[in-house]
Amino acid sequence: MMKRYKLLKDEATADIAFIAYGKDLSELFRNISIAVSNIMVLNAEVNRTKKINFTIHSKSLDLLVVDFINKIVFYKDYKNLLITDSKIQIDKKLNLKCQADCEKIENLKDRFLVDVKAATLHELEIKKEKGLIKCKIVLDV
Amino acid sequence: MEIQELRNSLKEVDKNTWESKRTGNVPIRLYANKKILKSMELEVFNQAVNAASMPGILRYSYLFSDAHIGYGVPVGWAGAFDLEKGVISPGAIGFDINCGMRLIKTNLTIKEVRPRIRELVDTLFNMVPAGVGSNSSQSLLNIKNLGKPALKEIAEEGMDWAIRNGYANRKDKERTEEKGSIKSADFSKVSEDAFKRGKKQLGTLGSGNHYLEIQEINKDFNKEIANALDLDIIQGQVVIMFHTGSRGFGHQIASDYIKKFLEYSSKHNILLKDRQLAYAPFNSKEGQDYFKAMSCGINFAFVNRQIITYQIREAFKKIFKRTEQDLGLEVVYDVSHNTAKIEEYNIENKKTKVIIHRKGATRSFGPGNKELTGILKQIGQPVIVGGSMETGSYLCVGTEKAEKESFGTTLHGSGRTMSRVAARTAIKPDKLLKRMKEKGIYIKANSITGLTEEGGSAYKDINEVVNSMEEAGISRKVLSLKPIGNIKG
Repeated sequence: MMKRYKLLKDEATADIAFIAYGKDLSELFRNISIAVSNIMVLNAEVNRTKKINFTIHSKSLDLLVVDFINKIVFYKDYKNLLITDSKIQIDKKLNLKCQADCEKIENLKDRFLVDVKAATLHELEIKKEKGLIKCKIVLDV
Repeated sequence: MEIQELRNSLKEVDKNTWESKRTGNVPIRLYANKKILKSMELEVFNQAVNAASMPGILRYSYLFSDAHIGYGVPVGWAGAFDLEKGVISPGAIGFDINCGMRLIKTNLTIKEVRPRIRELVDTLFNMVPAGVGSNSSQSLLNIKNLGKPALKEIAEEGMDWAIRNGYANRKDKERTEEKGSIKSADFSKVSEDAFKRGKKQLGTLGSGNHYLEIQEINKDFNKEIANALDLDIIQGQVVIMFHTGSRGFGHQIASDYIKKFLEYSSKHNILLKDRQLAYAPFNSKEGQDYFKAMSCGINFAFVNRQIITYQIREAFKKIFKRTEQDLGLEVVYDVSHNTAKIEEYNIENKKTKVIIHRKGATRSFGPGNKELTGILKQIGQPVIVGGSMETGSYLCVGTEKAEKESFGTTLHGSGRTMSRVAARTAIKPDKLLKRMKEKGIYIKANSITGLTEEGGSAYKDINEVVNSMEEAGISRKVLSLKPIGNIKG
């Protein structure tokens, strides 16, 4: 089974870096959301008692990654909801539609590992290798 | 010039003061001893070179002994920019605007506090919301649902709002950098998303490297200055130190304006060396809008630390059943780390205003500076240097030399040596907790993993980084402080 993401041990001295993988953009973005939630909470994906939908648009693919993660952070801080999994659709004009499974922060309190506060552009990289899209991103925590 | 070559070519022009050749618009200047210089990551120098290429940067791209890789510029960096020709950059300030340290003194001794440390830390843990998802509704803030008018006042007035609403006294304001209120703040430049994140998080500590510590004065290096600050006046005096910033409010402001500045760069064909270092001319509409929004973030963080101070005072009163005055719970000082501010310096014998960016760096004004009042005018501005939870912290003061040489700037902490992911593997939670217990430190944390990321070995040796700055004459040691209780989000 394809790995969804990999944490990078030797990068981002004060923060957390990871690479997410996907066969297509929808899968890549889904795996980014899973990586972000699992960086924050131990076994985050088992919790999904709420559903939300949102759309975002960005001018470039890498900015769409940043905006998508920042949207996850926004829901955590403002709605107290952690997005634990998602179904993603992205069109050619970089409009992203997300149907997300969420869990209330209060139900995860004893499993929190770290708080993600923002996505950065630091060494942000998206590339295609052997039919797989890879995205490296550093999170501010 | 290759970065490795640049690092090897640094010349020691004064004690612990290293300079490169001009790279970009200015040279790099690093304050550190040789050992720290050798161990510093190459990427730190690469990022300092990128910063040196920004328009209008004056004198040097500065690195301090605690520098480590950041985004855009390193953490432990400063750069001053010309007001007319220079720029402003969110990446050169940091996401957590006005992340900073506050030190509070008590009249209590270790003999009085040690037997009650568990009770005290547990009470503080309940009264100061900490960790992911902690919010204002769990705080002692009287306004449970902060609306826009209240947040506008907080963001534009800072500590003046806190005084008016009964969370602060005049001395708290006097002992806060910029008197806790930046006048350039304009809430209309702050986004709806920033408001929504901010309204939930006022009066909360946060997580990551944010903490609250009960400390014992360990050693004095300058008794006269310590005593002038009412410290070290009783044997085993206990103090409280904490580190937090503008929470989601500041992060959102930074994220919003990095995007806006990328658009500005694209529109004006600016070729960026690092997109995280996107900038706009300080005097442009975009630059001014960010400056006004970022100033709101500065004021929000001052108020955040003040509400936490209010909650600390209430917790101490509850445990020791004494009045605030009797407990002597007074703010020693509050310093900012991630800011850009207009300050005046003597450049080529001419008084010149600059926009000084400090990222993971502390203002370090010496005795006689016109911004300082009361006893601080005689002794210099306190500089609070937070160390890891295992190794302790320092109280220092600023110097006139810092004002002359480094735009009144010094280090901010010990600086990391290990990534968080690496620390999770390298530092075992049970061993860390055992070590802490052996050292007599009682700890209360929301996340054990979060705790291992902050273990002592993930940081540089604080003694080395502080001594480096002292030997360079940029800040002077006053006291070292040893933790006895720690709260982490």
